[in-house]
Amino acid sequence: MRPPVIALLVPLALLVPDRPRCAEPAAPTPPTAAPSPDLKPRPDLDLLLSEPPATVRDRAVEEAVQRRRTLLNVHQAAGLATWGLMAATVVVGQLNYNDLYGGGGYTQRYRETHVALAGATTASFAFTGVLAFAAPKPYPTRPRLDTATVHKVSMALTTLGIVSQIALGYVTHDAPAGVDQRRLAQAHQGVGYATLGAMTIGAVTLLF
Amino acid sequence: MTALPLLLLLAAADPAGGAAGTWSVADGSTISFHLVHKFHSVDGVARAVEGKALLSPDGALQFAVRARVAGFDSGNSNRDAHMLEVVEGARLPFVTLKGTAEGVRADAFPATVDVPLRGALEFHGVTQALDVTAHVRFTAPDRAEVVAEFPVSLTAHGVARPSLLFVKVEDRLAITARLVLAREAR
Repeated sequence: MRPPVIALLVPLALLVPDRPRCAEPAAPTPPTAAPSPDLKPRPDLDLLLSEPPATVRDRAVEEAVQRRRTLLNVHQAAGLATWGLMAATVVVGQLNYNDLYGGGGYTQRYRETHVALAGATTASFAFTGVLAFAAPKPYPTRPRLDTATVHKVSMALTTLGIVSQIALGYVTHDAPAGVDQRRLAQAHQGVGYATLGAMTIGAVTLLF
Repeated sequence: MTALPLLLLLAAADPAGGAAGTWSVADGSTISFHLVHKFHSVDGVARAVEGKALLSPDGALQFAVRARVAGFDSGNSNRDAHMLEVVEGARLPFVTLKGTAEGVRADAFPATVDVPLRGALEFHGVTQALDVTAHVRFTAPDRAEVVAEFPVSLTAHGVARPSLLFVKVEDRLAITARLVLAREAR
């Protein structure tokens, strides 16, 4: 009986290839915070993949990341404050328009507040923008049409709006004789709402 | 009569069915994440995935899959850059899942099997044990599709949760791996 059994086992041995190698311990890896003691000894699957080159801490990158995060956190806070100031400027501007051109009696009681808010909005907006431009980019971003791009385009339009508003505000206030001051004020009003809209879109789009 | 014991022995020797061999992650594979923030949720996907799996004739499986963290695209370049900051993509460029399984077999094609995987996920330089069931569909002797879903804790991997408007994202990252596997020529 022995020869037939051997005859069976020999081809079987040929059919069963070697198990995948479970070789030496893996190469040193970055420190692990929570090693898993219950894990089985891991097979050396590193044999399957070309390992990435060993990387070391790049102090410059880490510092740039830290600086970027600090600046952008302040940018967010300043941006929210700017949005609030812009909204207040528009509301008081509307009250000022009503007072001056809407049958409010031309008391000019909102004028100083409107000018002060507009100045604060402009300064806050400029400060917020400088923070964004000053933030380093340790990880380059790919130019593409996304919500970040919409944010930047919206803020560029807001910049145009604010500059236009400053000019329109002064022109309206100091309108020479013969110029329809009400029309100028309406333009100032319209650009003001559009600027607030652009800023709002730029802020809200980041939530998507 | 003598053929039957021989066939039984042959079947016992190759419980993996006809699927044994070396498998590679092929084009069309993705690893995606779903991240929740109080104001919105974010989905990102990596389409450059590499990996190998060794399926032995006895049904023992070893696998390793990885993707570059820089390869994840959430549809927003600023957000992706922010993610790279928190996961330190320059220093720790890969997220890697390695592991094993037993009793993997496919007797006929197509065949669908649920494979309990016992593995370790290395993310942000921190390795955590991970047990997950992969749904494997062998569409042909040399082709398979794998879907595995599992949660990952950012803090367990030492990742500082990013924030938007001073609100941090949730700790749980839902991962879905959809892999296309092709068996290498023997």
